[in-house]
Amino acid sequence: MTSAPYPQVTNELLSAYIDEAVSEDERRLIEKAVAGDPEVAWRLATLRATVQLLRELPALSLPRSFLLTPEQAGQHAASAAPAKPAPDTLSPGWWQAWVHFWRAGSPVLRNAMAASFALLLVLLIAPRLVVPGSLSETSLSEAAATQTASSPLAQPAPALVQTAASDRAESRPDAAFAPPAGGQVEAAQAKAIQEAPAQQDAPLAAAKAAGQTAADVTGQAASQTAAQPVEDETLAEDSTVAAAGALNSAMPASTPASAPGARPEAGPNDGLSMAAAPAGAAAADGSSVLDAAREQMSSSAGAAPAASAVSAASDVASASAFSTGVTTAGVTETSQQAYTTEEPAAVAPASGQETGQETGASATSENPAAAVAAIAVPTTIPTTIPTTIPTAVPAAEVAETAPNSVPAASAGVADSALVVQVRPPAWLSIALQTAALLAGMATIVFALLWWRSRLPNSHA
Amino acid sequence: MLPSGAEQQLIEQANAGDLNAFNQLVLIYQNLAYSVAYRTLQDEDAAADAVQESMIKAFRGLAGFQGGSFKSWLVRIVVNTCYDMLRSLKRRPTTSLDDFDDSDELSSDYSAQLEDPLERPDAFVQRMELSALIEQGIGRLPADQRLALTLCDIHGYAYEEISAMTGMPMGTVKSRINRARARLREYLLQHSELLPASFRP
Repeated sequence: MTSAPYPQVTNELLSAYIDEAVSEDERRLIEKAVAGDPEVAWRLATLRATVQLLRELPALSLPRSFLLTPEQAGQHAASAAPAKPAPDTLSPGWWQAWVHFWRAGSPVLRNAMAASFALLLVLLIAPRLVVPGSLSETSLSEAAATQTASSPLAQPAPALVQTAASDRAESRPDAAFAPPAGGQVEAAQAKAIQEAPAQQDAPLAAAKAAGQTAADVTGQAASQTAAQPVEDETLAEDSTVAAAGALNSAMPASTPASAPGARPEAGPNDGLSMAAAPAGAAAADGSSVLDAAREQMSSSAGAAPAASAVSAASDVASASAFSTGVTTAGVTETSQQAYTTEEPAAVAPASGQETGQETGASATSENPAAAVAAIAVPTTIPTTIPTTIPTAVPAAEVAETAPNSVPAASAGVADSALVVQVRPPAWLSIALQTAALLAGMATIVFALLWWRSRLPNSHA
Repeated sequence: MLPSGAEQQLIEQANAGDLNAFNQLVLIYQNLAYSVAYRTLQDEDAAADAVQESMIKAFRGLAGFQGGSFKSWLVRIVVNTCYDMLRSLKRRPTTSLDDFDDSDELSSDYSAQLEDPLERPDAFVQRMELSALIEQGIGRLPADQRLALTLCDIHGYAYEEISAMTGMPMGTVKSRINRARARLREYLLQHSELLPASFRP
């Protein structure tokens, strides 16, 4: 509110005049306005009365004393007693300054900052203490892995299985039959490992490096066989032909005894028994069929080496399939698919009689080599179609492949195993890095808050 | 009021960890601190809490005291603490059960100050009513104006000191004091029956 004659005399100027905070010119102007304008005089008088009333307000009584106790001050009772600490000549000035600096501010924030920093140090140092030299070993393993991957001899696990199967076929020319049951399979595997440790270890170790187990590898081989009977039909046929020419000559011998399409549900053991089991043998019992075939094999001393190699390959593959938990029925189904598409005439008996009987009829072939080949064909084709392919390669090539592939695979396996042992898990590294980041951020935040608590003037 | 040298010595001793020396400073300034807190917060309990917290902050932050007026430094801590509490009360408004008899409480507070045996009872009552009216008028002011008015008119500090205590620029201090006085005058004029003759035009 301003008066008309003296618009420049505002309430703020009057207030400053009461506090004697005006210049000399302003003072003269106000005194002139007060003398000449009653309204300005009244405003000045009421303002002075207001200020006077405020200054006459009674003093407030304190509700209590605000003296600090040692607990409130964050001191122990013993340390609060001395009025002035004795000068410490031993401790330098910078140490006292540091202690004073450290004690200032909120102790909670200070301790939180220190704890966060300690946690940060632990998170940064602990991984290096737990896994010393992990970086160098990791680099070594990566280099080894690169070398293994670039090696032309390095093969994935299924290929290694094939090679190993071929190797075993080569190394065991006398092997004729696969174990028929799971318990016997394990024994056969143990025996195989003893006989050819390098060849046997290669696929297993490679499978470990690839994150698989031996069962996975062998199961993969079996599943590949089961999944691709039709695709590999030609290959199987070719391999069979290439492996032993006598096989084809033996097949027609048994074919006339069988009627095509008569028993599509007939299994590989049926096929096996057709060729090998003696008359009257129970074809449904795989073990008895194999025993009978084994007898037949032992009697046929003049069996072709190629056929033996084929059967040895099937032995290894069958053993692998058995060891993975694939039952005889599963193998039977696999064999059946391949066999029925490949040699339907050899599967089904003509008259719908028991397979063993028909087998006995077909086993009337007097050619022991043909019998051996007939044994090998159904088991080789369905269970290990991939494995039969290497068996078609001449023995000399197989012998060349085996020593080359195994060391390369072994080197890769060894390096991969090193990686598994040394390199920490990825989630652990991520967790540690995240925790270190959080600890660092907490340290900064607590440090800022502590510094703010040290400076009470910075509040406003 | 201590001489400057004695106060500085107490500050140094307190800075070295002497709690007794700091408590002597508390005895000197606790009335001022409580008055500022009460005028700002308009609540006895909250003002007491603010003062106690301010004293603790002052002792722990004494290393940050860079010299100058210890009183201004201490009052600034009190003001900041009161502002923090006001912000907290705005976020979490509460109603005290003691506020139900507010009018009676105001008169009963000042009834304890019957010190002048020569003052007549009716004059005492009239003075108490006027004081209560002024307090209510102060309570209606904004917090920043209330603080400036309290420091200037009740405690008699100069603009420069108020500026140092509150961290406000000088012009802001002057304008806030002026607006506070004007608004309080208008409020008092609405209750002119309690005012002295100087208020009547």
